[in-house]
Amino acid sequence: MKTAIVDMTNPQRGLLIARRIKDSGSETWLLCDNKGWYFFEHNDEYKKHGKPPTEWDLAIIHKTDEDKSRFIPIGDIAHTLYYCGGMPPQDDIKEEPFYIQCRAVEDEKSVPSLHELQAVVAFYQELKKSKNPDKPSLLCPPPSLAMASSLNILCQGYISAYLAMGNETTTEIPHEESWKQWQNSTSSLGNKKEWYDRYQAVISKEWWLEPLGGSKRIEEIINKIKEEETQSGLKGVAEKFRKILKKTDVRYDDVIELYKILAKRGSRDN
Amino acid sequence: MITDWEMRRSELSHDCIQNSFIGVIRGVEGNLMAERLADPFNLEAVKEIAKRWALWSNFAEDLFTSAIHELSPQKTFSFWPLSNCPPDTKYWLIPVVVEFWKIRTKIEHKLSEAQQKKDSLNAVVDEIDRFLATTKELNAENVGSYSVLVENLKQAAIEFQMSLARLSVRYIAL
Repeated sequence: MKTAIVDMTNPQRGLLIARRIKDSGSETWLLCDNKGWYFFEHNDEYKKHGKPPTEWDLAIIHKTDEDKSRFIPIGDIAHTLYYCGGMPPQDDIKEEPFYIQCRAVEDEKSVPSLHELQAVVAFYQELKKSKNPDKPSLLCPPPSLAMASSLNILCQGYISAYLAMGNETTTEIPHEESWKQWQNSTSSLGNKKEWYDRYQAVISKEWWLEPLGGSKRIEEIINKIKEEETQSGLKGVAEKFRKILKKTDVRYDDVIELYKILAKRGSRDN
Repeated sequence: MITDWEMRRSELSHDCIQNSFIGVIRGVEGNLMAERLADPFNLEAVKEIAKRWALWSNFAEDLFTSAIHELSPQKTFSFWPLSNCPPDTKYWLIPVVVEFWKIRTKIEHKLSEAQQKKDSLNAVVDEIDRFLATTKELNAENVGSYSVLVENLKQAAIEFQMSLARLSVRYIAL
């Protein structure tokens, strides 16, 4: 498989992608400046080379550099894959050209791993044989995480009611400082009686299950959560949620255990 | 879920400010350092990005105004499964999680900081505009003050971009 990488905005990023594509077993060329094409000759070294192929199986192009590369003709390309340093398109792209949609490829940390690129190379090889092979996750928008977000909000509702009742935190809680600040707002968000009623509601399992589908669908709900935790890397959510539902009343410590996993997402730098 | 707001923020930060704005300024800086004063790019390209900034500045303003409405966890209650919450739960749970989200993400502080950085960038663009309105070419006499203005423009653009980065959903998600 002959693969061209085009990245004139960030040559280091282009080089990293090129190395990984080469390691996945593809003949790889890199266009990262106006001087011409580079080709991997020995192991990790890459050298200037005057005569690149005129036909490519795959071109992986930084979208912004698509126009810049017109000064150095690429040749005939069978398949094109774009990536973006900013946010990629989020709609469900069903036809070529595809994008790396899972995330922005803005720096070394976000460059796809060898494993991810192997899946991409295998996808394009498969595309030669069949019309609709399954797209690898790298080429799909990120999962919706609807269940994880909802459970996170339900946990926050429980913790709010628990703290507003004057209970103390007996265990380490994510965003502890923010919760302390939040406690100053409780009186503006309800009086004592209201908070008592809310607390009685949140310790009931029904309160948790009702929006998710009701108590008759517990197994279905747990399976849906499990499906999402695999996609999102929030491992253990389904198991913790099952633990919450095992006892007669929903317990604070169990909710915190679940919240600890859910709060990992979106909590950086806060 | 990546929201439309986040895509617009990313477009402003990455495509407009980083790739276009700062990219052009770096090109001009390179020319000035190499003493290529006669290159028309030095004035024309900056004139062009200053013109475009007027559009981007409005774009940024819309982004800041809509941020809390677009990003707040309140939106989650419009979609499955929380749309199934009974009204008496929504009545108290929505304001509670929105209030906590505001405290935890410091969203209001981050928005006001981004607004300040935008205003600073506006001020430098105005200064550059005034310089360009009275300057037809660069020469030994005016290159010093132009270099300072270009450096200020770059710094203001970088700081504005950094404030936009702090508004990324990575940092303000639920």
